[in-house]
Amino acid sequence: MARFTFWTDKSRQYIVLGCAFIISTVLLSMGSSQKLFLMKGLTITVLAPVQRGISLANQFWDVHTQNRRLKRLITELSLENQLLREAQLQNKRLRQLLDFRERKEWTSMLLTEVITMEPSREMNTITIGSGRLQQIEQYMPVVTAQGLVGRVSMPSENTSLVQLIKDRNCPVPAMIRRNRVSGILVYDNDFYLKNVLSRMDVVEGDTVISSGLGEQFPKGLLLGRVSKVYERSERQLFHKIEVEPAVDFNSLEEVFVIMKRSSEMREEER
Amino acid sequence: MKVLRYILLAAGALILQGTLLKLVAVGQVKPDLVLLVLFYMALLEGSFNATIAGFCMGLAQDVYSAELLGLNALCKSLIGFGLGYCKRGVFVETLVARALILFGAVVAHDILYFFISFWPDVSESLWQLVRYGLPTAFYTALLGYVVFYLMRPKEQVQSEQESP
Repeated sequence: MARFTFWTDKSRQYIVLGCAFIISTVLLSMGSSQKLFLMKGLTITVLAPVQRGISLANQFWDVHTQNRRLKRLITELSLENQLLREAQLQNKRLRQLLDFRERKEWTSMLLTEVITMEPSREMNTITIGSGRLQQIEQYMPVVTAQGLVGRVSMPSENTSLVQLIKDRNCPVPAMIRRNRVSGILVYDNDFYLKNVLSRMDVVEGDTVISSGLGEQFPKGLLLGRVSKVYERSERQLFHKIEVEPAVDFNSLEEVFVIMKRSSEMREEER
Repeated sequence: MKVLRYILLAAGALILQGTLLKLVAVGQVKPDLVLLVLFYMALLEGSFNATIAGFCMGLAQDVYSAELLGLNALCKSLIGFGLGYCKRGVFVETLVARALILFGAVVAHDILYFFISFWPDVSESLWQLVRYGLPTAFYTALLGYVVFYLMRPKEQVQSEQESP
């Protein structure tokens, strides 16, 4: 009996190994039979809590990874969204410009980008991305859908310097649209409509347009709106009229250069 | 109590193997924590218990993974037995020797695993062994060396501190 016990103690490791080998081999040989699925199902049921723990840990890790991925995605989408918004605004602006071109009588207009803006007290200029190679000439009027911007002061090959009407040296012959009262729009820290006789009827809110006198700027371009009519004394000969400009000079991105009026083109054709 | 400790250790190794070890993976290679635990058990308990532990842990891996049922159980039973058997003969106390034996154990395990998995395609088995088996063995042995160093007996630490 003692001998048998000794043999068993000595050999039990081999017995265990043999059992493990046989069971494993049987399991392997079962392949994908139904028994295998049943056993797997049974074992999975038994080990479900462990699996749940493993899956929870996996989920925790996945959430962490997913969180980082989503944060990156949000940033990317946010940037893309900003670009799309910008494109949408540009689209809107260009549509307005296109509509403006179709409405006006000037058929020969060149759409060009504003490259630089140098607004200062002394010299208010912008640089546009078209020049002599694009048939731009000096004194050609520059406009946007909102109204008159200025005139080309110095064209070079591919760019041109534009003198804004927001410049002391760029007065614009103007008139009130309502009653055709003429004056001159001048910039002197603010826009003023000058040379309007004090007996003329001017009220706040009146629309100011270019009069076409002097033939530098075409007639009918929107310049602004009368924002204030100062009270006059009896001795004053002229009104003091403040004008709010139609164009926002701080947000110029694309402008039109009026190259020829349609009437001139018709004359040339004749 | 000891059995419970081993069960917890094995469960912990199985869970870590499938989850957090992704963090320390180099490419697609990560250390085999289950084999490391099996090595530790074999070192302390001998081949009888190591065979049972190897079989159970292997079976758990088989169930959890969608591989051949019994493949891990077979490989780990044999490796557990082999390691437990070695304990009586060639086991030495130096850390490097343990790490080398662990390296051999992982390689032997992977030889069995890949050859059975891809049988009769021997070339694919060899390719998998070179591509994953050897790097895994190296990584596991390296991790094992660190673990053995951290878990060395107090007497050994004291003698290291006393010696000039």
